[in-house]
Amino acid sequence: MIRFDNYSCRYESSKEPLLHTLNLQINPGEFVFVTGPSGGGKSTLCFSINGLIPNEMEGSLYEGSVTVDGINVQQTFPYDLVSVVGTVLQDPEWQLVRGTVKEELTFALENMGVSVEEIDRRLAQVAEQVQIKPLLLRSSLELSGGQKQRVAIAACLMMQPKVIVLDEPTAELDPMGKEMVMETICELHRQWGYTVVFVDHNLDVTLPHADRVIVVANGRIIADTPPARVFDQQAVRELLPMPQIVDLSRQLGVRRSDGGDPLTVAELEEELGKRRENKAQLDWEGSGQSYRYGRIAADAQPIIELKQVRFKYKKHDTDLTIKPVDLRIMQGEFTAIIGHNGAGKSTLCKLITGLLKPSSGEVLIHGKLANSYGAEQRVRHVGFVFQNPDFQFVRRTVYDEVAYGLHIQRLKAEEIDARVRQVTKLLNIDSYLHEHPHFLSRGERRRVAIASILALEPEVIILDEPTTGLDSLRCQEMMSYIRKLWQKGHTIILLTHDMRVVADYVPRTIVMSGGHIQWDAPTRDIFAKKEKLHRHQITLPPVVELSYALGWSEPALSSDEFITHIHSVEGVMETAAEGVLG
Amino acid sequence: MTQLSNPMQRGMAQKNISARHIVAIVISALIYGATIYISRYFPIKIGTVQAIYPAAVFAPLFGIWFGLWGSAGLVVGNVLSMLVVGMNPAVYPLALLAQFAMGFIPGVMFRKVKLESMKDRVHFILVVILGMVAGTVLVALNLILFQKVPANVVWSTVWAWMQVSNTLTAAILSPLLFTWMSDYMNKSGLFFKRFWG
Amino acid sequence: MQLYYPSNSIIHYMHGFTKIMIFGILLTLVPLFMEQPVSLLVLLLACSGLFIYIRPPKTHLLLLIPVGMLAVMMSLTYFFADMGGQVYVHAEWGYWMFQISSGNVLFAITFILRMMIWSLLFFILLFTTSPEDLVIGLKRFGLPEFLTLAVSLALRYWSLMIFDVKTVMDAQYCRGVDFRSGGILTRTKRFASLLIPVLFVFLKRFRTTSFALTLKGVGRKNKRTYYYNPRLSAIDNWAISSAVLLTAVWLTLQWFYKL
Repeated sequence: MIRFDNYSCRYESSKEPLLHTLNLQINPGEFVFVTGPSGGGKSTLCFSINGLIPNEMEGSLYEGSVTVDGINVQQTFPYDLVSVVGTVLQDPEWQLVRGTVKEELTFALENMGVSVEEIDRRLAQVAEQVQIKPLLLRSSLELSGGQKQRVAIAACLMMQPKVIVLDEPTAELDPMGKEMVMETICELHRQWGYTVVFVDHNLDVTLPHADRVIVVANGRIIADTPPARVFDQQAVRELLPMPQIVDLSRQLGVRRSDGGDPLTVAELEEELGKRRENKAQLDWEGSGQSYRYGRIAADAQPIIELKQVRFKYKKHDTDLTIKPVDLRIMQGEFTAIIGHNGAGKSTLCKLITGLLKPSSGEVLIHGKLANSYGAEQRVRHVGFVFQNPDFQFVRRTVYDEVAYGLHIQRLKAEEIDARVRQVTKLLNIDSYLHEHPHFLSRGERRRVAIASILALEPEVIILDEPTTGLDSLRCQEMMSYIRKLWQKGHTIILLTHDMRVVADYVPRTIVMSGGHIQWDAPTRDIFAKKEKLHRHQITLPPVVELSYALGWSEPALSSDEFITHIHSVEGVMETAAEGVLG
Repeated sequence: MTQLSNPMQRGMAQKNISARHIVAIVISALIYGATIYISRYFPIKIGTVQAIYPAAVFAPLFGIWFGLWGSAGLVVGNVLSMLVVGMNPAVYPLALLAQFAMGFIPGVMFRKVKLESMKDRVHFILVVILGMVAGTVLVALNLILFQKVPANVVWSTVWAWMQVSNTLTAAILSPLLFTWMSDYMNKSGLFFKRFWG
Repeated sequence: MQLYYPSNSIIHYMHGFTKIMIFGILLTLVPLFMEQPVSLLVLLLACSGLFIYIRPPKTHLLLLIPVGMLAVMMSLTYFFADMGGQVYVHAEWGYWMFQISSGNVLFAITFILRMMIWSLLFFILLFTTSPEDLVIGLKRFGLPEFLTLAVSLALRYWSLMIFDVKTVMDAQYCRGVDFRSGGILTRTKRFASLLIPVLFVFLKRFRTTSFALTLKGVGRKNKRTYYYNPRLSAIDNWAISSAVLLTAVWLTLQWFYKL
């Protein structure tokens, strides 16, 4: 279906190719999962299939050829190729170009000059395939992220392509949105037989569904195998952190009967079950808790306090966006706020930072009303790092960017220099001090944004989705930086959808739903609520699911905990068995 | 590069109006609209008079970056910002033409993404001033012909003030902003090398 | 940009083209040639009648405030010229002068009335016409395809733009940038600290949007179909012809009687 023959490409302006010469064949009906580190050439691969390279991207050069369904991509304009290759881009908002869903779906066919009757026929068919009939007349502004991507997929299908290329379609979505998109794609592949090329970072979710995995790094294909065999390769293990299930099975030495890695909780559970006929029923008292909570001094003062805070966006709104909320954050705490989109997480944090004023109730910082602090004073107490760092960069070098907030505070030049060097060193961006912030990678840009807030030395740092869109290696990196900040004594509040991050790093978790705090407890207790969490649209990390599948009453939160526990259980069982035999 | 040393090929050249031209209009219009939106929150005023008309700073930049398409975007952006406050663009035809001129004149006379020498700088500032003066004359004419404001008042107060709020502001701030953005525009490949795209 | 609201007035059922023709052009011409405040007042009342007939929601009524203020502000320019009549106050600084006279007041009132009529008419058009109908109406005037597409894209992204700008303002506020204090130079600088991220955020979207359009077949040379393409109905023909007749009659009367 897709064939790369000695294909390579690069930018006119750079010496290093985007893709080194490669040969690749993708067969009809295959679900190919393309992954690899950011900036390694995944998107380039996509854009070489749909013809944006070389015919739309200014200044791109190529060699060799790519053929899709017998058509030479390089000799065809991308807009003439749309009926063969359908593409879904990463940004759910800006790739929808029309006002309503129906217009969005018909737009491409109108451009192709397809008759109105034919458009109607396809509309009926696609609405059924992707199940978006109830959305047809809605405005794209009213849709959730997942729904938007579903519409983008539907818009592709309208052109009846043979191949669907998806470039990180789930990167900016919450877990529900991710699931929704994944489901749609799997359905298309399984039931309607589309050839799918899916680019993504999220191995946990995608790996089980794919037929074939291609790992791209530094412009080369470094692995091309079935999903269960990816981590057999040394080069891949060096580049990509394993998904939790693979990591666990490898540590436990569990393989599937066909020799591959188990990829889902169910598979691993089955293999574990086979290994030991008797499931470990012994319970395990969580031991990590004391050390996790132990960092907060007993005499810690509340730094942020919310008393009966209510909020609504418009005066005549009947529903409150924030229902009466009481909350206390102690000095030196590390807290995660979780909950689905629209649960009120961001609103709550904007109330704390003073971007919004409560309709009633009090927000106290150090026991004083938050409103009594001016903008310049407040930044010394509470810093807020936005999800998209691009919204705050105003300077042309990283150094000036980090120093910007300090200049506003009119600090002395030596003081500014010292602070900038200190925070950039801490976050490991000191080698880019003279780079333009907009030319850095996503993770680096985010670190610059954190550094520029950190330089102001706020006591509390609120981070909005700091790991979204990062590949798993960079996600780990980012979280270890954040943990470092916590260990240096900052109070940290993390807004996130990534439950693995919460389970691995954060001691206290607040679950928000419908504008109020549902639960506020140590993370272990939160994850012990199992099905109750599903009701608030929160998905558990695989290791927690696995603990439950094995019948433990208290879950392990990280791979390490799980391994320690299972070894101890096995140890106990072996001694018990020996005792019986003896 | 010659064909021999570089076997790599370019993409095919597109001749008709393509997506990037349309997007150039849209992005220019949106940024222009954003500027007008922000200035509402940001009273930069001396007494009750708007001291700075920030949109004027952008007009020459879009003309230079996106050529004809950026200039068209200025018109679209201005029309949209009029819609929001209920001003009928049909009564301001010359004012719309003025927006176009503010982008078109610098755009057609200056086609570089960087100010490399003193000569460039002078050239740049001159074309910006020329575009602004032409634009403000058109705005003044619109006031006289369609809003029926007496001519001597328009020239002595409104037009005269626009030389400060538009022409002077643009002459000072446009080159700064242009230099500020030039390395990004250059590297990202968004700059339209030819005026017609 | 949520100006349109669905309802069931006759005006709601008209074609975009008809409404642009009537409210945007024909009726807009009338006050341009009207000189007497009384006739303008009558016209203003007529327009208000139509405006009430389309029953705009309460929040939409607030939109009349900024345009009203603008009209008053601009009408002040008349006090810097001598428009005749009885002089009440007069001051002079070299070339510039300030004067309150009966003529000046009359001209200022005429100006405000005219502005208000225009904006009422225009709001009637915008409140009753959805963005897509507006674009289809524009297309009928012979606007080229690329321009109507650009307009509809800009309309689609407008509210996203406002949202982004707000986020940028929030993000700068969080770094201690205060927008409402400081001298004019500091404010200008802080103003720039908003514009630069806005500029980058939108320029970065350039690629995404341009790819999205290409991948939806924009730029193809074949003839385009129009899936949603309403025809001019009997109501439209009737409305346009009566508006043309009305304008023509008015202009004739105006010619003879200087109303």
